[in-house]
Amino acid sequence: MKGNSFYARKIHSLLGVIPLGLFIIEHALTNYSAFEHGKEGFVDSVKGLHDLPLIFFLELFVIWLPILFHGVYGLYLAFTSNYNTGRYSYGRNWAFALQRITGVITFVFVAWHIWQTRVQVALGNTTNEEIGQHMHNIVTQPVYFTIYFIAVLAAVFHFANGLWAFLVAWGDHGRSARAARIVEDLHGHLRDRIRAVPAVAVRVPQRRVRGGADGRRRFVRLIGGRISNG
Amino acid sequence: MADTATATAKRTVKFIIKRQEKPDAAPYTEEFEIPYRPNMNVISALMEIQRNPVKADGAKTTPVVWESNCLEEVCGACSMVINGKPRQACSALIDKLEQPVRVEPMSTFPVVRDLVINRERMFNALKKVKAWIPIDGTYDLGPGPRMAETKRQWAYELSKCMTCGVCLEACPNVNDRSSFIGPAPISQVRLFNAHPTGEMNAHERLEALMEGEDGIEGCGNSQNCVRSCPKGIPLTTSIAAINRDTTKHMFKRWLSF
Repeated sequence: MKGNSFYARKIHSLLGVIPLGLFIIEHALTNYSAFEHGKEGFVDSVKGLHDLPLIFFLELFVIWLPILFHGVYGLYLAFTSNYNTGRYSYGRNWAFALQRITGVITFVFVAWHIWQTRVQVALGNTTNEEIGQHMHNIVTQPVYFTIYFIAVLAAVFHFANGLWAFLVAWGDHGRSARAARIVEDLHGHLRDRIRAVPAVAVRVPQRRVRGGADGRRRFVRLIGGRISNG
Repeated sequence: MADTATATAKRTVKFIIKRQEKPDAAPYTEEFEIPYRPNMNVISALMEIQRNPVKADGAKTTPVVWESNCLEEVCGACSMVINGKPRQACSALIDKLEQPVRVEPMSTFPVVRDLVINRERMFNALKKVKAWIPIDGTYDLGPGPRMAETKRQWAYELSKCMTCGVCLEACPNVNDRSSFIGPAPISQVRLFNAHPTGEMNAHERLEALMEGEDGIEGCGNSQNCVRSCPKGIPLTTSIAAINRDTTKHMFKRWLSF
């Protein structure tokens, strides 16, 4: 009995955009609130999300199940691919390899992030009301901040490149070149303006009182952000 | 004239060739140094090794085995990996190659011996997707619909595919852990579905790419194929077009019951 991978792959592709794409944008906007209003803005946004009605079912159907399928099937796809950027060092082939590498990074990261947040709530170490402050405490530690920074960049690349692949897989031919350009623009904006900067904004306030403020300012300016007073 | 002849006779070309005695034998490499002749290509170099099978260190060896037919890059038989890239040996001119010239079989395919590979999976793929125009009947079916000249010229580009296997060799998703059919047959589906008579069986070809585990979904958009195709066939555009057609066909099947 031969299996069929056509529909599995189509579902994999669709889930990556709806709902996982929406979920990553939601996270980006929440992080952005830290950029706009500092720590309090971030804590308020997180609290607002957790006050959504039927949060358990929303999470179950909009995130847990989709991410489980997308992630597990994605790991299988990454395993069935060869990586030949050594022999064919073309940009798109690198994107192909990076799509799989960042996918694995993102999957591990999401599992770990769930451990640090939802599982801690379940264990009673923190509560839904305190989760914003809890997250803030995590990313103000240099090691965790570095891990989050790398993983968030990986996730955004995976989403942006995946959006392009989604258009190709679902038949947006003709427009695929234009779409690729738009996605690359979006990618740039998402990466520089929405995700990375808020991550730094959450990070920076507590570090300001200690030394090396100039270097930090230069770094924040480099990635297009500004230092918040949160 | 005589001086020039001796001068060119002294020049040599170095080769490092990956060899294999039989399908399940372990591969090994051998080095050759053969006399340079003007305008020689990899095939004529292999012919020289066949004529005088002596390695660079002077030891005798068996002649290197390879396949070739047309010698003008239209049959696809002499595809091999030359200096890291899959291509046809006949159009690989020694004057344009970095030395030593490294030659390997396209090991995505089963190696028969030395540089000879078995491309049977490509011909099976063409059968699977019905890459032909069915015109047989029990009576004269008469002339088919005409094809616009502009369309014919466009389709001609797709028809240049010679089943050489270079795109499958370059594709990271064609390997022993995946059964992906490869770029070439998908482009052939586009070619035969574009034909006014072939179009009448378009759904059969699309369905062939939507069943099993070797269908069009195996494409991961690395786009190595379009960069590697010796005939310049727009393979990724073909895959995108057939992605669109199979997606439309999927919805059409759901909505018609």
